[in-house]
Amino acid sequence: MNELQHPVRTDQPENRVASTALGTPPTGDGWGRALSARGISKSFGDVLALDRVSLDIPAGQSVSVMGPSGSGKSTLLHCLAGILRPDAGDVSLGDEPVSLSSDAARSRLRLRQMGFVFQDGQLLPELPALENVALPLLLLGRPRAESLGRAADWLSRLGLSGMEKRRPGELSGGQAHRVAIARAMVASPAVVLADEPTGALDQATGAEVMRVLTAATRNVGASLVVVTHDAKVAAWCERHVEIVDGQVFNDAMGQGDLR
Amino acid sequence: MTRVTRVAPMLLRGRISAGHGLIDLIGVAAFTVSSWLLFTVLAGLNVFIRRQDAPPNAFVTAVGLDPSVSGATLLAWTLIAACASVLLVVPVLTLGAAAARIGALGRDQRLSTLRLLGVTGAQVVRLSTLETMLTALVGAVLGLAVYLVSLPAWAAIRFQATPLSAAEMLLPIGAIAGIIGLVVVLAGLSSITGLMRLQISPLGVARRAPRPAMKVWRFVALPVLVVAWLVGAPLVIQSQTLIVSVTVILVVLAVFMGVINLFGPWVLQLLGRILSRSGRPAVLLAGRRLLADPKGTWRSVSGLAFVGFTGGALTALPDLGSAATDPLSRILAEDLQTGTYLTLAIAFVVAAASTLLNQASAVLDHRQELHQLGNLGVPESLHHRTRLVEVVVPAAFASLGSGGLAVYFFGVLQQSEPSQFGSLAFLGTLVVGIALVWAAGEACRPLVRSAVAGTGPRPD
Repeated sequence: MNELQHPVRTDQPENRVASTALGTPPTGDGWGRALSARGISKSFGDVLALDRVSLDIPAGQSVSVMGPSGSGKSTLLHCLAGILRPDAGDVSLGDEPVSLSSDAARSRLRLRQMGFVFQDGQLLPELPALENVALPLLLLGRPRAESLGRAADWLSRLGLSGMEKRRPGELSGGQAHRVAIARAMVASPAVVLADEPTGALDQATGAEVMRVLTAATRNVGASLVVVTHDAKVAAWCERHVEIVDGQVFNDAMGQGDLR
Repeated sequence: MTRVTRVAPMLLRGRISAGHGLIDLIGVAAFTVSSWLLFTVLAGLNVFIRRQDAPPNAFVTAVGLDPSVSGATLLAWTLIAACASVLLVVPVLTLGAAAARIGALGRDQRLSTLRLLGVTGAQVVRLSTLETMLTALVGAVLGLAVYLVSLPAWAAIRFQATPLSAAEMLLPIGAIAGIIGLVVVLAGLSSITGLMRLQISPLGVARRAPRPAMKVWRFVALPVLVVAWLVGAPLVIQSQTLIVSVTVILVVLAVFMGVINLFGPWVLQLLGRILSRSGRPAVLLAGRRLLADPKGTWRSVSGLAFVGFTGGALTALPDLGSAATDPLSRILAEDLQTGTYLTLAIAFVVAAASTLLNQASAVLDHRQELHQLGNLGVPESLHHRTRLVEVVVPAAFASLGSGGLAVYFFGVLQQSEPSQFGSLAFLGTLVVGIALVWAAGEACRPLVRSAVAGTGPRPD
């Protein structure tokens, strides 16, 4: 079923990059790039986690990747992000190779072009929310004042004004996830990758996190890839890919009716 | 300053102000202790070097020599002090290195998060190393403060019939700056070697494949020891002058130290294998932990082994001070005794600090497992019993074993005059020292309790 490809969308609605409360059009050089995987395979020992998977994700599209435990969905996300290097096939972001480059080059690509929201937030516990969000910009070499200013702006957009000085341990689960979303968005990434972003949250908070995440990426025109086992979470995305036994089992456009 | 290293002070400041950096605080404490001891040991050596040029009046009066002759005689003290300094400097620096490595190893989550954000592996190593060097700098400056504050206390110690004065024990500014630089640079190098043992990926941190077990060839060090001794022992007996006698003893001691350093980790590995066959869970666990890193365990107790060996040798050597009519020999014998106890005390402080550092970081590293084991019904007392075996067995093995080895080898030189250096007193000191190391391990008891209860602090 991995040959069942979703056609590359070219009909990006103009209003998705309009300036809104949750974002402004990105200025980074990664904006407008499609994420593409071509026949990627990945094994761990004798276990074939991904088997010749191909996937094209147009700029600005939100995609859910679902599948049972051990199906290879997280491995797919990690290969798309350049965290793992596939054994065969290649991944590219626009015309920039993701999978073929060195670990250092892939790291730089993640820093410049990608944002991440993982299940446990992956925030640095020692830094207050503001500095956590500003971290990617500081790592990119932006001046501290500018970095903190943009971080404060993103925290404000996500309804976290007044919480800039709080550390992750002083935030609720939902608030911590919104900080993680702000951090993922602050450097204007081309694509945001989320691995079970609501896994540690209750249903209502999880829905709120997905609403914020999809709105933020939609309004800046970034692609969004969400790995989840929860159909309610997947329903926030426009397109749904199902992975079974390391292959694309189903790939269909959804209603995105929760968006 | 690069983009990544620019972030390091922010991370360190954040951890300290958040109170999350327990490992950093332990690291700072370890660097403080190691720097303080390094300043003190090298200051002590400096005292003997300076006294060669300007022999203390009390010493000249007591031995009745011409001051120029006394200067040459005092070379013996300098050589012995240098030997003691080497014995101590190695474990002291090892303590600092352990602090650096543990600091690097204890930040798994944050390192992988930084990798996820797009920081390269090399940049993570650079960032973490810089943080460790900042920690070392803070510790070294605190160590300097402790050293300066403790200077007047040295007046209670007498060498060469003269009390040590605060002015004598004060190192020149250049030496102080050099020592701080040394601590910081070595911390950086240790951090890099520690991080090289890790595979830091955006998905987590894994330890690289464990090092292969030490081979039995280390055992051949023992015949080398025997040959060295067969050559060295007659020289010690035959030597007539103080300088030659002391020099030969120092060379022989150096050979012994080298062999003990080869032999010790291998024996600890063997000990780990034996303990891990026990049917008692606490002994089995302690044996497995010993087996996992016998070299690391050896590093934390090697100071005890060296000092224990030296002390053991002194109890068995012919008594230099037995000729009561010779004031020079009497003063040397008294100073040897004072120096040995002092060296032993410092070695035990280092070993206790190493134990505290290793045990605390092990608890913080494994807090989740400890909590899960607690949930499964594993009694907390098991962890305390395991720690008892894990801490006391290597310390006792290193100090008593090497002390016993020295008594056995140097016993052949025993002459009719019994040594002034009391064997029982020395044994008692070793036991007190081992108790100190045990107490340092026990200081981690509350940390284990909170980890089992799931309320423990996070290391990062």
